[in-house]
Amino acid sequence: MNASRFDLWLGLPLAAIALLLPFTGPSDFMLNLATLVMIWAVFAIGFDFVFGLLGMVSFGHASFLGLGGYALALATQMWGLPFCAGVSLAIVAGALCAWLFSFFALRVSGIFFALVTLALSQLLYILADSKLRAWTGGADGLPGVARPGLGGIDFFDSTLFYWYVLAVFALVMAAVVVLRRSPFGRVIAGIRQNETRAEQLGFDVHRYKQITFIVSGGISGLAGALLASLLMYVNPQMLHWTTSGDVIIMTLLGGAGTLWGPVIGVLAFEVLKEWLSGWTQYWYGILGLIFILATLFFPKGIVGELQERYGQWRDKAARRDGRIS
Amino acid sequence: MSTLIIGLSLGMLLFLLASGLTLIFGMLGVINFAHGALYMLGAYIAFDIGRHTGSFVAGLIGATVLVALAGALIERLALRPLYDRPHFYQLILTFGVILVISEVVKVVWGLGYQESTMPPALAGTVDMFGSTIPVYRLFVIGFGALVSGGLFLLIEKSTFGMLVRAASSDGEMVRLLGLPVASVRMAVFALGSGLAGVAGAIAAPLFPIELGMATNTIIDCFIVVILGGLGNIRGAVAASLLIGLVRAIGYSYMPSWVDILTFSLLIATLLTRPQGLFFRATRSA
Amino acid sequence: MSDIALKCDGVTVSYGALNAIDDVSHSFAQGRIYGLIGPNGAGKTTLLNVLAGRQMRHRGSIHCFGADITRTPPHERAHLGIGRSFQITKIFAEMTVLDNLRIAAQIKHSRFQPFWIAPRYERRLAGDIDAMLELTGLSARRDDIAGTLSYGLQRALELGITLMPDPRILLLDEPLAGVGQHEIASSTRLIKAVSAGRTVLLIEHNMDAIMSLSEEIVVMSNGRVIAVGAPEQIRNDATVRSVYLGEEES
Repeated sequence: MNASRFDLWLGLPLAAIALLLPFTGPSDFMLNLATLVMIWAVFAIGFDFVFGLLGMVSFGHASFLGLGGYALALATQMWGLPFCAGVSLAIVAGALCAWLFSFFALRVSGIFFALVTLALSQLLYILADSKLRAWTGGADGLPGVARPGLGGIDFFDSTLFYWYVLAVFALVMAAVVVLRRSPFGRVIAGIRQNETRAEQLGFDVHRYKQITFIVSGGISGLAGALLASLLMYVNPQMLHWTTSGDVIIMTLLGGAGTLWGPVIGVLAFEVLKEWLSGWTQYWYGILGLIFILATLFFPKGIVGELQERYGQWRDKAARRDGRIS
Repeated sequence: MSTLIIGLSLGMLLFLLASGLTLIFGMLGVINFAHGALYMLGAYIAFDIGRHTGSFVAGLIGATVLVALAGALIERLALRPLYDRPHFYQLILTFGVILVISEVVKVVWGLGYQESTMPPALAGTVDMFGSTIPVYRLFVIGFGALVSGGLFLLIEKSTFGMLVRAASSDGEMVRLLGLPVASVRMAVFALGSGLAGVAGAIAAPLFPIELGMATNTIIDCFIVVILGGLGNIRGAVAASLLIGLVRAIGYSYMPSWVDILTFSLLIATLLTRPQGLFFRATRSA
Repeated sequence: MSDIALKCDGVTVSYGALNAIDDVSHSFAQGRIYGLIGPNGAGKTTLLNVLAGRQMRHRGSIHCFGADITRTPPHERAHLGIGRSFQITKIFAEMTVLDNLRIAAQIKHSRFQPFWIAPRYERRLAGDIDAMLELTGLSARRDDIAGTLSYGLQRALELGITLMPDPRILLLDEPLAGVGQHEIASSTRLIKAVSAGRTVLLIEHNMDAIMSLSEEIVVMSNGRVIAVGAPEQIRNDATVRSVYLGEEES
């Protein structure tokens, strides 16, 4: 299974970096940046369920992220629930919202799917900004979001919070690996490649899409909760459609549909951002330019292109050894 | 009465803005997310030219031409290579274009917002039907009507329009006939972008000119384009006026519900009549 | 008196003023092989789409072994035993041949698909998959990406995927389309072999093949059934010839 060999080769260095980072004496800033990367990576992974695995462009995922953040904030602040309950609530909130969106969005396809998710998401944003101000704090947002409260450990320490997030991230990655290799995951891939055939074979395509959407929402909600906890703050900007746009850029940059693509995409984005903002304040525009160039010339994304080169290299080697014709 | 005029002028402005988007989609099948950014660019350019030359008209013309050129550039460099690929690549790419245009604006004009002055010839008010109505608002309505008429004539009656309609229904055939499909596409994109530029220039005296325009107005564009029907110019006029009037009336009586209502209408339309409320069997003006 | 596997009653599919299928009624008996022929645009594929559930908007009713399936969605019809192959090959192009057949085997075994790694489940599928690889002659290519196969092998895979769930009713849309001359004989033999014991409805333009495979021929033209009978009868039928000759002349 060459795909998994490739994933392993990519994953090991990433895991090494992630595990060794806290021991290299990094600054708080570095730790928080790394934590941010992992959180956005979780978001991108959740998003890629719909984008990469199912092949549908959703502009609504900011809603799941934001709802997750607000769910944690409200759970811990307004209802005095422990952190874990807040995170669980965030996952449920994201999943429920995705389920709700799916009723509307799955009735249409292509460009209309993108526009419906955009409209639904923007509606939620407007509501959060105005009508639901009592809950969301309006444009000011909700400050003072909690950190985990496990066993008396002080998670306000950047290093300790980093480990916490790393653990969650590892769990999410493991779950995704399993899902992709499962019979269910194979069906999802089939639906993306040839929906008509999958349906004719007997798979309830609509149900599969719905389930994938819900899982996508739940993971995004989880990311939202972690983000709110990192920033210790949540505001409506997390729900804005441009946030959805950002995750689309990151995922495409890294490689939609691949295992490590979303992660690498986030990493590349954040690294580029930090590096570029070092010598110009116009980094966002340059990033946009890079993204445009990448879309034109490397549509498969970093990991996608690497994977293809790897596949070609393996085929060449196999042909040389006479293993294939 | 003044509410009606405001509603009509808002509607016309919305039409100027959205007409380009629906034209581009109708003829090229591309949804340009950067349309709002082009509008913003038009507003900034018009403001700048007006500030330096003192002439509103120069700003109007300059904005239109320069934004049209920007559009042609975008089509040629960024979109043309993507026509063979699945639609969503174009969509997402135009999102990247927003970032670039916003940054360019930031470089040239900075982060703060600008205020354009009303051209003195069009400032002031008139008394009509018992209300005091700003002259500029009437100007916007008149200008919008002119442009929509001109657009309609161009698409339906001119040779260029015929070429565009032919290319949009069967590009391959048109190319085989020796006609420059690629240039036609670029021209349509330039035209649509130019319209966004015009809208920006016209809107400049009315609203603060700032960076948020890029991402806020595109949503309005989508609402109009979906309600009116993708590619349907007449529908876009009707939908724009509808939204304009709803907004004007809404802001007077129940301001916090206006956006919620418009979005609900959008979602409902997308689900029940995705071809638009004013659907016509043929895809032309 | 054998069962009626599929029955359509008064089926009409209209696109505006045009009727792709016009008031078509026919009973397809269980275990027989039917050939569906007719000039282009006769409505053959549309009829197949109606029977398979891909075209849900129509007048009239469809029954499968006595049960009304008019409102049944296509994925449910698969569970009732209806299998369908497509004129334009519909395989999972980015997956290996093995994975293509695996997916088909999965639905045969269970409606519920585990979302964890399930080695025992996969082992249970292996036997069926190996058998189908043998039958379609694809054993040597099991690890190749489906999209890289030659057209003929893709058609074989298409058939294999269709057959995997072991459907009792087979709807085949031009299975020999694009198949090279030297392969037609073997492909025809394959179709004959897999048709055993199943109800088959076959669309084909290759007259020799369809006449030799079918037990009964249904002729369509302009959305209507204009003739039904044994292959020899149809060969000599005047109406049928005029329909085809008329097509050739124009």
